[in-house]
Amino acid sequence: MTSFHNLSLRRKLTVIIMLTSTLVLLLACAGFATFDLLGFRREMVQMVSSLAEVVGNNTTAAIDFNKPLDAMQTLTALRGEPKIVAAHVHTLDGGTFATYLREGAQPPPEVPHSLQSRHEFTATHLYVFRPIAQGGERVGTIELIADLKDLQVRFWRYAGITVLVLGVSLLAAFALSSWLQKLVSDPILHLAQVARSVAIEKDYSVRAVEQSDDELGQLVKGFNTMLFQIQTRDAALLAAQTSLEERVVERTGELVKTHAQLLVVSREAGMATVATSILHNVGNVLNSVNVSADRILEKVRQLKPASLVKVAALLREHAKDLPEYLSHDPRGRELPGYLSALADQLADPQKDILPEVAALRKNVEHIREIVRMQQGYTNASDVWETLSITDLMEDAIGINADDLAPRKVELIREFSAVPAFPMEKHKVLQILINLLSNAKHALDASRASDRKLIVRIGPHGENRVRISVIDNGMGIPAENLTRIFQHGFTTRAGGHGFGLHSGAVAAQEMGGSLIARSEGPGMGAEFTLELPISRQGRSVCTAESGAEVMRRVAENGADRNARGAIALVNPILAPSSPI
Amino acid sequence: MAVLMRAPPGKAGLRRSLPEGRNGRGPGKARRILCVLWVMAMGSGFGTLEATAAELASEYQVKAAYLVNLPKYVNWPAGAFAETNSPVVLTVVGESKVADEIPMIIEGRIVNGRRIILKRVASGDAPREGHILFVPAAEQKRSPGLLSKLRDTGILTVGESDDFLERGGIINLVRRDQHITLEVNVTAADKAQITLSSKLLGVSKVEKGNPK
Repeated sequence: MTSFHNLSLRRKLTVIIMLTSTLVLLLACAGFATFDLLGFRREMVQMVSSLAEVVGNNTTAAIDFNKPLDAMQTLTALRGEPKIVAAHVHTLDGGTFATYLREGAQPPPEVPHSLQSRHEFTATHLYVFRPIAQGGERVGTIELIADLKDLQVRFWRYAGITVLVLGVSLLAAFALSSWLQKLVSDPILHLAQVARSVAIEKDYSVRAVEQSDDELGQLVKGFNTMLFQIQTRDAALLAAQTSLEERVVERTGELVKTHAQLLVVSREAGMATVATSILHNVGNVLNSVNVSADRILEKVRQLKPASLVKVAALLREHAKDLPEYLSHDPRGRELPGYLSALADQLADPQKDILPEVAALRKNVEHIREIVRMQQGYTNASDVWETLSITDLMEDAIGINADDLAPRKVELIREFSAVPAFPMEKHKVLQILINLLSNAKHALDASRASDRKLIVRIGPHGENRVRISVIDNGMGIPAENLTRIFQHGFTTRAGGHGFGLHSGAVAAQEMGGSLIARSEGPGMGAEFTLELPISRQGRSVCTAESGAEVMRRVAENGADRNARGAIALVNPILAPSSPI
Repeated sequence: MAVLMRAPPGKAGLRRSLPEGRNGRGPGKARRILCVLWVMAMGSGFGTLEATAAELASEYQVKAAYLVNLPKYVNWPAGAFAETNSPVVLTVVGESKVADEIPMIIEGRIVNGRRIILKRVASGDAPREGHILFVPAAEQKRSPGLLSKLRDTGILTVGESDDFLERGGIINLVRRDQHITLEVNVTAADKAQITLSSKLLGVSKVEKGNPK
């Protein structure tokens, strides 16, 4: 079959036509021969049967009156029928009454004889049995045996005719098909040739010639159309390629220009951010500085230097008789008591003032550190100190204490023991101050009667510490949870929209995270700062990609099983140039 | 079948006319023996001349069978039968052993749509009715004028005497070379308006006998 597949189209067509013709002719000849031979057999049976009836009828009297010789004589009349090789007359009891055998013929093999009318074909003979009756009465059976030579002769004659017809017909079919197949094969071969030349030479300008309007013609038409389309597309592609190169050059120029513009813009934005950062952080601390200064002022006011001046004048006036004055003058006698009272009065404010001054100094130091941090932002005050986070939190609370006290806020500390670990003190402090300050404002805006601020510190896993600032204040609407960490986003009049943004950036710089969580407006909020205990963890964290950080943060949110919890560590902004 | 077994050589062809032979085919063994006997008979030229008692008995049977087979080959003149299925009446005059065999043979047989009935009349009677009249040899001797009385009556007369045809009989059953053969007087048959089948004539010895 494979070899047939590989034949050329012309050969294939010839083979198909010849095979079809041969099969059809064979079937037709076989059909005719079968029909004719069957008819011939039927005729033969009829002929022998009528012969049997005639001969049998002539033997009735011989049987009835016991004349076997007469019966044999009757059978001898069969000599005129060369087909009949033998005949028997059987009596009713099955015996043979008379027999005939053609001269020179071999006695044919016996078949079981029958009383009924029937016939039987063997390979070489036809046996016909017919009952013999006289006067409506059965008297015996006649059996005629014909040879089938005629049938065989006829069969072989048919075979010969079939071979002859087949030979002549196939010759004619071959000649005719050789001529007619060109109608089909020529256009296809032409098309194949054109296709081959297109494939080899890649020349899409050649065209096949249409020779007819049938399916082959349509095939050629379709092929030509395809070639035309390929040609057109090639040209368009070439044009597009050229124009694309031009466009790429053009766009690259635009990009370079845009990039330069962006550089300028981002530099300006960086500078603005730094300025905002300083203002915000310094502003936060200045608040506390202001409060401390006010207190000191008040304490100083409470000092009464006038009384001391008066005492000094009295002493100077009685300088000559001072002992007299002090011991005998009624006013002089009271003077030592007065002086000691005055001394007490002066010592008390100093006691109050000293811590205030200390706080003032601390705040100023913080401000100085903020400024210093911004001055060297690129390697941002990378001073790592091993500190107690609890102490740092207390500092932050202290800075905000004056604001919290008058607001009737219940401050709850939930501190678990955590080891001291390395951190950038001012970044952490700044985040904590910011968080407390935000909580304060959130509680201000709330109308709840029992305002609570929970500050929680605890370990998280083996290597991390979690610091949470939880308030039951105004809460954060879900839509804002995604935005509060963005630079410049604020919900407060007078807010900068910077605190949380810079807090998140700082947390990330230290290898930690800052996460916000709120059940919605009026439901309070929870901000959690997570920091690594070892610097190793930090370095690993900073090495993580932004996406990885986002994923981890999202997982943290899932850990808490918090509805509406959103975490954001926003690395958007890192000033591209130092100020 | 016992009868058949007793059949002598040369008589084997008769077996089919006998009751047992007709109605039931015997065991294959018996048939084979008969075939052998028949072939021997043919080969020996119907040899033996001794007529045994068995042979005589067989002769009566053969004659009886011939009598019963005759109606198949005979056409009687119009009006011989009252109806299309009226029986063929076979009359036997006087005493005859042939007549004794007939009842067994005719039992149940229908020929050309007619039954065959046997009618026996006393010696000397000449019945002018019936279809076949068998005149045994003894009766022929006793009343030689019988046949002349029956002329033109449309009765098929059958006899067994040498002079039967001369005296005007139509068919004579005679023994020739161990065979019972038929002799036919065509003239007498014509007179009696009886047509005999050519098949019958084909197996008979035909004489254009005395038309008396």
